[in-house]
Amino acid sequence: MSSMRRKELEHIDKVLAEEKIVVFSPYEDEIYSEIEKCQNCSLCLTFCPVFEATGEFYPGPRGIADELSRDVREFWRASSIVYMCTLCGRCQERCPVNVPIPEVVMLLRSKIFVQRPDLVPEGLKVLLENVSRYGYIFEPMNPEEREESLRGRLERIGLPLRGDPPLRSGLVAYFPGCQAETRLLEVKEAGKLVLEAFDVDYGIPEKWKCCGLPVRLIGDSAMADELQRSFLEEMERMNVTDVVVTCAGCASELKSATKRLGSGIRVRHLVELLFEEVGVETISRKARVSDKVKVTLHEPCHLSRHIGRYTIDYAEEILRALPNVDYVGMRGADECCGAGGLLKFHNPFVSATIRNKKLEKISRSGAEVVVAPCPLCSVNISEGAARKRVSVGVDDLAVFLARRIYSE
Amino acid sequence: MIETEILVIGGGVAGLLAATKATDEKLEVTVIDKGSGASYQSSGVIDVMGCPLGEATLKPIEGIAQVIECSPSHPYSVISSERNVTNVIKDAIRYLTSMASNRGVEFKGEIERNVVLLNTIGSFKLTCFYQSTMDRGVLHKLEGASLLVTGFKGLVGFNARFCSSSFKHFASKFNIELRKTSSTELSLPSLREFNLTIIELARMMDEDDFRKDLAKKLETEIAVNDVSHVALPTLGLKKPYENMRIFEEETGTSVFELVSPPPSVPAQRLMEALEEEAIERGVRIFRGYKAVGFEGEGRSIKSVTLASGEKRFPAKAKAYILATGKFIGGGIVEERDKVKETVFNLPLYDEKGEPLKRQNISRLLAKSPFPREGHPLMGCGVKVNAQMKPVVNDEVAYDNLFAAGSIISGYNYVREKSGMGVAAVTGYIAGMNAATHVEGG
Ligand SMILES: Cc1cc2nc3c(=O)[nH]c(=O)nc-3n(C[C@H](O)[C@H](O)[C@H](O)COP(=O)(O)OP(=O)(O)OC[C@H]3O[C@@H](n4cnc5c(N)ncnc54)[C@H](O)[C@@H]3O)c2cc1C
Ligand code: SF4
Ligand code: SF4
Repeated sequence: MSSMRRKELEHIDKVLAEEKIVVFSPYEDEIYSEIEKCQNCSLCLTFCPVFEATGEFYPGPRGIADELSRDVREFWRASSIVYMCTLCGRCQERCPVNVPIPEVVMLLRSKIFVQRPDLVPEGLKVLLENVSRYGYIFEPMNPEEREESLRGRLERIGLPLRGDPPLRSGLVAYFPGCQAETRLLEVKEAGKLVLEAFDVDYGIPEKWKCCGLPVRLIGDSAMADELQRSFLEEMERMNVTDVVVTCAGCASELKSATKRLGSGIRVRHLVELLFEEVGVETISRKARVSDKVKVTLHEPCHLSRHIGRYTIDYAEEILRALPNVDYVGMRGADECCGAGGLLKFHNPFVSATIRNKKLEKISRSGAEVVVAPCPLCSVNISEGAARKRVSVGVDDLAVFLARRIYSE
Repeated sequence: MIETEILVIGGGVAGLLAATKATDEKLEVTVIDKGSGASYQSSGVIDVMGCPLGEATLKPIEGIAQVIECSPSHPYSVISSERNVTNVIKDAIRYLTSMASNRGVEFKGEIERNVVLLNTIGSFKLTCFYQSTMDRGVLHKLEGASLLVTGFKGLVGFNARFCSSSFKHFASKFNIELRKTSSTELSLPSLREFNLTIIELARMMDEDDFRKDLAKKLETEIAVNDVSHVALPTLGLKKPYENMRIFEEETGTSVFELVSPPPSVPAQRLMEALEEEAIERGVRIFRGYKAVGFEGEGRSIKSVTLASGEKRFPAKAKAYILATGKFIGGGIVEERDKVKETVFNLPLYDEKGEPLKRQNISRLLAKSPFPREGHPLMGCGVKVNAQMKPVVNDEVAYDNLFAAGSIISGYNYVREKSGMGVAAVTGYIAGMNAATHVEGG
């Protein structure tokens, strides 16, 4: 390269950096060109929960495709839209030509975050600060407070408190996720008890941090990449080949991180590990006979559409295997609970509208308990049930299982 | 992981009907679907035979007879070698409409005659069975009517003024005299006045307050316009009949819903009803699984390979029904210069029943995209015998494989207006025969 040419290129790079212009990568080019497949049939509109909840200012998945097909470079115009999407993935599943709307939304968020940070919803910036400060997306309770809360919670559901077994070389790593570490504390304990009951040799990684999903959802893909790279490197250093996760979001995000980074580590949600390694017969044998209860399953988007529908069938088989659990199907089981995409943290109103729709479907199923294989969905649904006075029990799957499997 | 007696691949009209029919025999039936296909994009009315050999007819039975005489590879002709095809179409459609009716979606119409319905793009649609929300607008019932076409400010894809003049023109072509046509464009406080979609409008209609406001508005419009009939682009998603009744009572006119291209609200109502009724009758439906291959042994299918995320696993059944649709459903895909059937890699045949040769395809594709006789690729698909078993060189391909719906070759529904009719009757027969196959061991 001549020095003239090099100078020219350096100048261009400098201007781009000053103007905060990020050139499209080949991957981005490819994803954006997928938008052109959209035939404007509008079928996706019927399946989009945000469109149903708002109509007014959310033009739905077709609108996203529409908006961008005018001029992809003016992506920031779509900022008010892309932060509303819950990334539930229903549009893509139902789209006859498979337009990858959720992927497009993620790309746009990351571009907006870099080039137009002023357009990132304020409610989300706080979460990002939490991750930088504490390593978790939520501010943790102080240790005494946490212990007290945890004891109370465990006592109520009749489960014991154990220490965290440290991760030793070669063991299965249990990744609890921020929600179970800082909010729905019993999920982490239940996860431990279930793994122990089925003789899984596991440990909890020391100083683990957020899986990166919420960070990526906010748009900070650099930070998300960094969190994931360092977690997976640490696991490799510890000779870990298997990671098990109780949160649907963490599971799907860490799974795709292994793919992105070419890591050979196998990440699985608890239902996958149980179904594939333990088997429903063993689960059934081990489970205590408890009172008869009518149960339905909420299907987290991150399991059913991000990881794959098979995880839902695993979860269903596991529930069906438990004695005295009367499993009932639910119309709309695959619909988002409203917490997806971090919508809840910057637009609680729309999020709650979606949740109320979900609650109607839960009520209609006739179940006494709705089980969700995800602490984030569980918290969201049970908050909604309390607020709307819907008399249905809400349990995270790990907790529901632990209570039927744990014995002194 | 899935083990069932009958596995149906594809949950469009053909697949849902086949699956439900098979459960009548108390068999365990599972439907898998990757997402959605043509049935969701249809207008939610059932065509049986609108344009046999390219000419429109108001008499479907005569049309079917013509087709049987001239197109031996048409599914209706193939069926007629074993059954009275008119009777079995009647049975199949009665079955379909009673499934819908059990979930509150009512159909009208009779196989003896086609009707002309007006649509939201200012044109008309020839069909046979239609939802009863459209009944008052059947063209031959509009003789002497004074029709008010009701638009909504900001509603995308619907121009009431254009429709009203266009309807008058089309009516006269069918020798129907509309005494008067007029139009209005309403704006209601709760409606956004730009970029409004018909789906939102339909959802609004189901809200009591909106419905009340709208009824009032209509009443004022009607007072000035001397109207006997009111056409609306939609009557609502969940409560169309209730809405229709209320508008009729409030305005003293006959109210109906226009047919619409995608996104069609009546099609959503129909598909939701069929799916719910299928589940109610014991069919298991899994959405989110894509069939990507199979294991066979001689003339028997052992399992179908399903893909879900990164996983591949077999689904085992005693009989399989292929109801994956055509290009929209995804049963046939086009890859550069080749079209192929996606699950069993069955050879494809053209509308005349000839094997679709590779060199033919480039010739077919090179033709104009809208030839008068219809796009030739729309007639291609798998070839079946009268039991709906796919055949290759006149030999049954697999003893336990059946096909239904638009994956079948030998007819072009776009040109012919026979889409759901063929989907229903082939689904009905495939469901019955798959059940017999399983019961016979
Ligand atoms: C715009 C439009 C309007 C129409 N309007 C009318 C009308 O008003 N009246 C009428 O009678 N006909 C109409 N038709 C025709 C009619 O819709 C079709 O002929 C009929 O719906 C075909 O039904 P089907 O079940 O065979 O296919 P589809 O409805 O296409 O169903 C096939 C299903 O199989 C699934 N599938 C495909 N491949 C796989 C796989 N590998 N694994 C898992 N699942 C798979 C797809 O997701 C899809 O849901 C219309 C068609 C179009 C395109
Ligand atoms: S369903 Fe797909 S093709 Fe149709 S409008 Fe939505 S994104 Fe576009
Ligand atoms: S991912 Fe879900 S919320 Fe987002 S546009 Fe698609 S259907 Fe709507």
